[in-house]
Amino acid sequence: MEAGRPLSGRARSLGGPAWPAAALVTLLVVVPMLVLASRSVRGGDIVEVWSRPGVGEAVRFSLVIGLASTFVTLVAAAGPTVVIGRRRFRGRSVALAILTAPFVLPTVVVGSAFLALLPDHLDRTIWAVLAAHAFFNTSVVIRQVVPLLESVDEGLLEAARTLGAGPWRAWTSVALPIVRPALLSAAGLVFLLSATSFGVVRILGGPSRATVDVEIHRRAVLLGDLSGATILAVAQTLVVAAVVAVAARRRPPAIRLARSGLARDLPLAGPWAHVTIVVSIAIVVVPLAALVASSLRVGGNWSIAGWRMLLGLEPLGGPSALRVDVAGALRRSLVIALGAVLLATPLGVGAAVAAARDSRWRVISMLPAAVSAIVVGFGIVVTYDEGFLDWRGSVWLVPAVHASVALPFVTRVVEPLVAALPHGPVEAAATLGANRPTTWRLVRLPMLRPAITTAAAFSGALSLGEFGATAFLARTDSRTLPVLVDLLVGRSGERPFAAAMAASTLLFVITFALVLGVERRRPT
Amino acid sequence: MSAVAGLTLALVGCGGEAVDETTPDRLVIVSHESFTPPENAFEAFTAETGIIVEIAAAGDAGELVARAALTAGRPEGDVLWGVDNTLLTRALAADVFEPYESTAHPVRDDLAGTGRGVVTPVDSGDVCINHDRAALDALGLEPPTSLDDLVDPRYRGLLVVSSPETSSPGLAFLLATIAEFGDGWTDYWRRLVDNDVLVVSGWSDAYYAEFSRHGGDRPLVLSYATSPPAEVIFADPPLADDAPAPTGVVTGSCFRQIEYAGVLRGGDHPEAARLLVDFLIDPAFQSLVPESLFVLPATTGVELPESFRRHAPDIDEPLSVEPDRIETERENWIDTWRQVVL
Repeated sequence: MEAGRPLSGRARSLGGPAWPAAALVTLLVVVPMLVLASRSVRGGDIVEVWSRPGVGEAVRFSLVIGLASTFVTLVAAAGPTVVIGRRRFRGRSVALAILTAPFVLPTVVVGSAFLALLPDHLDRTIWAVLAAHAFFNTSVVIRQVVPLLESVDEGLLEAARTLGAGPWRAWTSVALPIVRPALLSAAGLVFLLSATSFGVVRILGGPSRATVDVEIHRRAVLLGDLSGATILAVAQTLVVAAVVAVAARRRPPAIRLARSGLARDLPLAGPWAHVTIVVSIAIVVVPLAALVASSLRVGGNWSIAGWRMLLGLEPLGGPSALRVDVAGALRRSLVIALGAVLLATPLGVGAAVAAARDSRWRVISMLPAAVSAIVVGFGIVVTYDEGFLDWRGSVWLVPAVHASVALPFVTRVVEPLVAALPHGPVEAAATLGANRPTTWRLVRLPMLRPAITTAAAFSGALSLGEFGATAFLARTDSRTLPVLVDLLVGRSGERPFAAAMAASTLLFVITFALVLGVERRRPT
Repeated sequence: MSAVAGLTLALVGCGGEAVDETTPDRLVIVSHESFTPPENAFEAFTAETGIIVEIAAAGDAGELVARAALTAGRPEGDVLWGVDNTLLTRALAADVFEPYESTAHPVRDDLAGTGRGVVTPVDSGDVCINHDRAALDALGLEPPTSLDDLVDPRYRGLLVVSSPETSSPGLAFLLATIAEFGDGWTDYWRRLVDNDVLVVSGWSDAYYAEFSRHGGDRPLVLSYATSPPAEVIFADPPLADDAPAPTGVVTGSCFRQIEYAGVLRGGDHPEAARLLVDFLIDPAFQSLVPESLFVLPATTGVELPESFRRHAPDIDEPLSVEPDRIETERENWIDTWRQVVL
């Protein structure tokens, strides 16, 4: 019988449920990187590359922008997280869906929207980068912290207040310790995403600023210094793995909840709650509205030509009658996203369960967030090139890569809740004779379901918006919507640009519908 | 047996089993994302040979060459389209190609040079400063005609270019200034900076965020000599038939990019791949190149479509730099550029 054992005992740290995730990450990230390193790294470069022009600046800039973005994002996310986590109000799921949308929008689209909205003197400054990082990553914090915040027992808060604690004290002494693991883990992820930011920095940071990821791309592609690029990529991955491992050891044990969620049926009370939500949504909606508007403008006039081209009702133009296969791109994007969800969700939950028992397992699922897309792409291309291992162009390659990209998000969303699972019901089930699978099906999974649905929606959304790895691995007949957008904005002329804006809007609408659909069905 | 003979035999129906083995069902062209020929472009080739042509196009030209170099000998396809003269030396050094230069059709003399006997030039495109006619009119300014004009105070704060560190046209523009001014190129860039040039990361950032024609406020932008015909073809609402293109080209600022195609070394069907390279410079295919890829045909005698005849200027004396020199000096030049400009 299973249930008598503690859920987080170090005794069972072999990480059984983490193996599928570990296999995916090993196959698609670790092995390709090692093969690439063995093929391309020249020994002397391991020392020399650090003194090459641009490398030192890139390392410094990555650290600075990572820390600053994390701070700004946490501040921006605090209000909406608390309100959404503790209040139940009409339109809550819509608000959550809107706040998640930025995360999946193509960088080039958000970049253009920010350039259009920010005053000129802020364009291509570190401030523009910070604003965009906060815009993108606020949803990471909300998504990770809200499920745990929801489960804070209102009774506990009341008890604290009854014992004389002020509202602030009640929060910091009761709610904060409960959400702290999720908060720290979100902050770590935001730091990682910001420090390895690629598209945002390239567009909004101007040409003088480069993160390590940008420098890796510059070396590998522009300068032909694949050796130097691979060394930087391997070093970045090792550093991140080491930091995650050390942080995992220092983490305090998660606080176990007496019972799961309760009392969220509070009205949206107080003017501040209203103001917080309205302001947060406005910040997200303004660039999105600008995007929708630009999809309805062609050459300075209002027009639906962009949408007509997108739907194949009219060609892009010209005697060669270029057509945009948007239906195909949309279908592929959705199929790929479905594949990524079906793969990432169970694997991520498994990894989260293992990590909740022994947090060292977290290293596995965090690795994909730390590697440069271009290096993984190169690695896959050189590694899987022969016989039955010739995966280049395989239909499942892109969904599998998307799943590995989504893995860190799934585990980070699910793990805090796994760690906080109460013993009681599990033990009760076991006492009543339930075996391990039954306990999982009837007790643990239902309690984890809010986090799992959130994670599934997030991985679908991530897959829909993924560009870097897809652009590298997709072929002409496997272009996704973001790749199509990039292709269209690479052309001169009013009509291709209008079609690109329509395609971006469509991407946003579909993502929004997906997240909203999941939120609506989510058991509360 | 040569593939040509094998194919012929197969076509007339008297080939044996051995012949079928040498005739692949399909060939794969590996290229960059911008390789978007019309869907029926290879129908004639398929009708003639029975071979279906697939396109594996991903990433930009730099990524294409980097992955071709990594997979040299175990290629991702049979034919590569789209290595240009700024990257050719790198591809040759990595031994990417099975040497074959097609002589099936006459190719423009001005495209020959590095890569002789290994690859076949398939198109050329000039990277040039473009100007927004209406915006310059509103400022009461004549369009500039040379690189020297761009540092004239009259055009102060009007130019946006993309960075040579992150974009291929950006690198081409840096090379244009090096070809024009020799060692004096750093002084030229200092004067450009004094004249308030804006440097952004990529071509689309420059063209769609900063260029006045598309909502920005700078009427001079780094783009291509073929952008004006594209502006006409993709104008909405369509322009009057006799109207000039809304944008024009600074003809003295152009760097010529030449794209090459070649047979990838280690492919399964080198003979058939050669036939495909032959087809790529066939006038039937080359005549599709202008309005689908927005580059100029490499094959001589291919008539240009009207949009190009009217709106794409002839660049008689484009600037150029030897591919070998680009490869050896590129990193130095870019580092120097970074110190001067950023």
